[in-house]
Amino acid sequence: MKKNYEGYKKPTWCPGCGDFAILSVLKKTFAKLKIDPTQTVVVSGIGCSGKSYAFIYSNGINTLHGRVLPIATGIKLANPDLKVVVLSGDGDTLAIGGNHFIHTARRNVDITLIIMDNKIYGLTKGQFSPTSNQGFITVSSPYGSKEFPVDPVVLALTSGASFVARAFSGEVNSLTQIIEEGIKHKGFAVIDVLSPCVTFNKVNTYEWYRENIEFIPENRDLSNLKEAFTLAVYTNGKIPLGIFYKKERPTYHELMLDSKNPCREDLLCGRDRVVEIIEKLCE
Amino acid sequence: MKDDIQVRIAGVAGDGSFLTGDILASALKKFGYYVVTIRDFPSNIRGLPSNYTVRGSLKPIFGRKDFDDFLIAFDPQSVKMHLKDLTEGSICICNVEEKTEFTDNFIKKGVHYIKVPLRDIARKEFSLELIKNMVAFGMLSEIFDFDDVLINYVVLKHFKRKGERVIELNKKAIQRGRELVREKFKGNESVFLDYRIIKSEDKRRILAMGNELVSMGAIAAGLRFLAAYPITPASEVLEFLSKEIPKFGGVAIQAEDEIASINMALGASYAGLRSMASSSGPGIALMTEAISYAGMAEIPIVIYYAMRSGPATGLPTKTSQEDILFIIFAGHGEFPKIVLTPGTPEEMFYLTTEAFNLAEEFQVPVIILTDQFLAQNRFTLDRDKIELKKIEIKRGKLVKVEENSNIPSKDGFLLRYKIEEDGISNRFIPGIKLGVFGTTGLEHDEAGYDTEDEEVRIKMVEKRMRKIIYIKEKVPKPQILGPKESIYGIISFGSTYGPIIEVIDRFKKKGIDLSFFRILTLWPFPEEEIKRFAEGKEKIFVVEQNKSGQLQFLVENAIPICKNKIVGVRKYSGRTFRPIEIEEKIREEIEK
Repeated sequence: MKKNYEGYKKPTWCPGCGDFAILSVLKKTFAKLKIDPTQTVVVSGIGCSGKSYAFIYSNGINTLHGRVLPIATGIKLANPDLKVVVLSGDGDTLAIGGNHFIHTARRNVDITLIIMDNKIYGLTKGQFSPTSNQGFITVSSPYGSKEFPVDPVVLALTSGASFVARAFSGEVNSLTQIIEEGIKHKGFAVIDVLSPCVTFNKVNTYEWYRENIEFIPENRDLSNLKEAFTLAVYTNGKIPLGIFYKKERPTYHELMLDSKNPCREDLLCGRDRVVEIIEKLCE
Repeated sequence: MKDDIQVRIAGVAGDGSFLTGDILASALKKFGYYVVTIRDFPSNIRGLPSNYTVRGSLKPIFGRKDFDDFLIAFDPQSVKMHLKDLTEGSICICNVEEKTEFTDNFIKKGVHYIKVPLRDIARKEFSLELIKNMVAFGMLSEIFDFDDVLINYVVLKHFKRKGERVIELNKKAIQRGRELVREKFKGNESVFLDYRIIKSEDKRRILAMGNELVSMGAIAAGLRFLAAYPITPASEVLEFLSKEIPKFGGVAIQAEDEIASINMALGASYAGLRSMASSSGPGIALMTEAISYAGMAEIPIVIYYAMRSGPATGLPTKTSQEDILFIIFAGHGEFPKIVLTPGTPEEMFYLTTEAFNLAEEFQVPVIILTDQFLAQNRFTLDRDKIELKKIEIKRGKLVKVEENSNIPSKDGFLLRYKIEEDGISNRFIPGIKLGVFGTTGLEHDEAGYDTEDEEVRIKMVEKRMRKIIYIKEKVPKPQILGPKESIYGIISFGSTYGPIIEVIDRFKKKGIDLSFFRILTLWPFPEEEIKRFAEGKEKIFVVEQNKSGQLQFLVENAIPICKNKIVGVRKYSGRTFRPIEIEEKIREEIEK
């Protein structure tokens, strides 16, 4: 076992990037939960978040842009014994991969999705993203973004995710608690982490977030969907943080696999059935 | 007596002509006939013209014959539409009042017309218009001389699940059809003597759709994961496997789109399962980025590709071979890929099983390329041709999860992409206790983590591309039918097999030998074999179902010095070749 889940590479993010905190919390959570890196897959996509697969000691797969969730779904369904954690960005999950976000939530695939949400495309040097605020001026929105931002929390709630939370990488305590809860959750856990991009996003800075976030009450019935929506949507202009919703329901692999593990099945076991079908087709 | 008959049942979609055709196919098969059933249907559920052709022959058949012997037309419009496919001696059973006078464009010389108000009879006598199909089948039964034992057998086979009442109703409708023929041709029965079926015993052949054979091949090969999005003409694979895979611990997912489907399949394959995605042109187009990813990350994947007419949405329910160049070049960047092209029911099964071995042995994407004709039509196949024991499962350099040997690792990181002489590295799957590894679509080092190092880049490109040398040795070789030394050659692949072998037979009867080079692996292209085949040929006919001659482009590239000997035989109407269309073109060229 590698000490502290040190990855193959040292992180190459810009100094001060919000993603450092997320990575560090994730490693500590792995350690705390004694997660076996050989029985775990970290899935990442494209963008600054995509680099994460190499920064943590576990199996890591870096997918095509936007395809983290289908790849993660395939892995989990193929071998449900594996722990699957997805590290993705706001562009990766909500723009190019937006379709998959909805359907993975509907299926309640047993994976944890951490969105490293910096409201910008960092790796391509500063274009607006689907979570960018309206009016946000970037190199590709020189007159201000005309698009209304998507709210990953609300979208996750409407789509059927069974654990939905938001955290801020500048608030490490709550981030730690939320990531741990998310990883322990059985089902599709969505964690939107506000993660400042210090190089390209000069609007949504650490200071800006500190002024604009608000923690939602903790001691609630977390399975109350109506309350979750209310807290997520009616915000008095502040960005609500915390766990909005948590309610277990059968996961996709439980429903699809009937407690079997396809990886452990004999490859020849379908042949008798083929013979049966062939005999029937001979009739 | 007929040893080769073809019946077309035409009406509008929703008329039930497919079921009638299937029942006829069962009956012919029971009498020892080889059968092909051909669906010609619109991309629409009800109301638009649709027809179903059943051909039965005592010789093996794989396609349509030139002309129909029978046309059952459930509306006069269908007579007009299919008149061109009738010939001297054909019989046209048409749903019109007996006294109806046909105008010229409904009449062809030498065709016998039987005018019967099938819909009226069904409505009035059975209170069920749909049963007109069985009245029509009854008429055929009388003409073909089917006996009641056979009729009871096929009715039971097709309506068992619907209950006793439905079975009886159908039997009555068939008897009514038989009566109609007896009444109409009382004292004139000799008209039909020619159409009696030659009865022999049931040969216990499989009657299956191409898509079903591919699905069964996949299961036999150990497929455990399918992800697909509904699309004609590949949907039956999704449907078949959704029903079957869960029975032995696998997964079939209907994904949100084709991009998701192939990525899910890649995820499952990465985790160690034999996985497949299936689709047609529009869906495969969406998959191309992931095909490239599979090439880079060296994740084995099988893609089933049933071509239809394009471009864009094209003719969704019609056949084509328009995507040859598209698929062999699909995916950006350079990486090895294998494209297999089955042309017979047997190959649909076996090449599918082989696809899974090749994908794992070489850790590359393998495409099984068929078309609507092969995919959605039914064919007979001798039962003993399918021998499951013959199918080996070869997983290449897959390292077992429970492996605890001293496979070298770099500080706990396994070398998933170790440079090897044959370009193929040990393949680990997550869960292996020995360590962890990286996988990425970025250029990477031996441990699978991204790097832009120039030296590593060169080595990795060369490692991946080196596999091609070994792939060429292992892929299914082309098959040459007919005498090799013949001065006339045909080069083709896939569904053109059926008409081509009939054409070869016709020329042989006239003393002209044709040699047929059948491509079973379209990529890597069998250049060397084509060079040898071309030696001594005066004319080489490249038969394909597209306009621009995509296969010919590849053939000319392989044998540029023979360019002026190559003649394209092409069709791009969305309908399959009839033998006569190929025959005439070849004759024209030979007689020049």
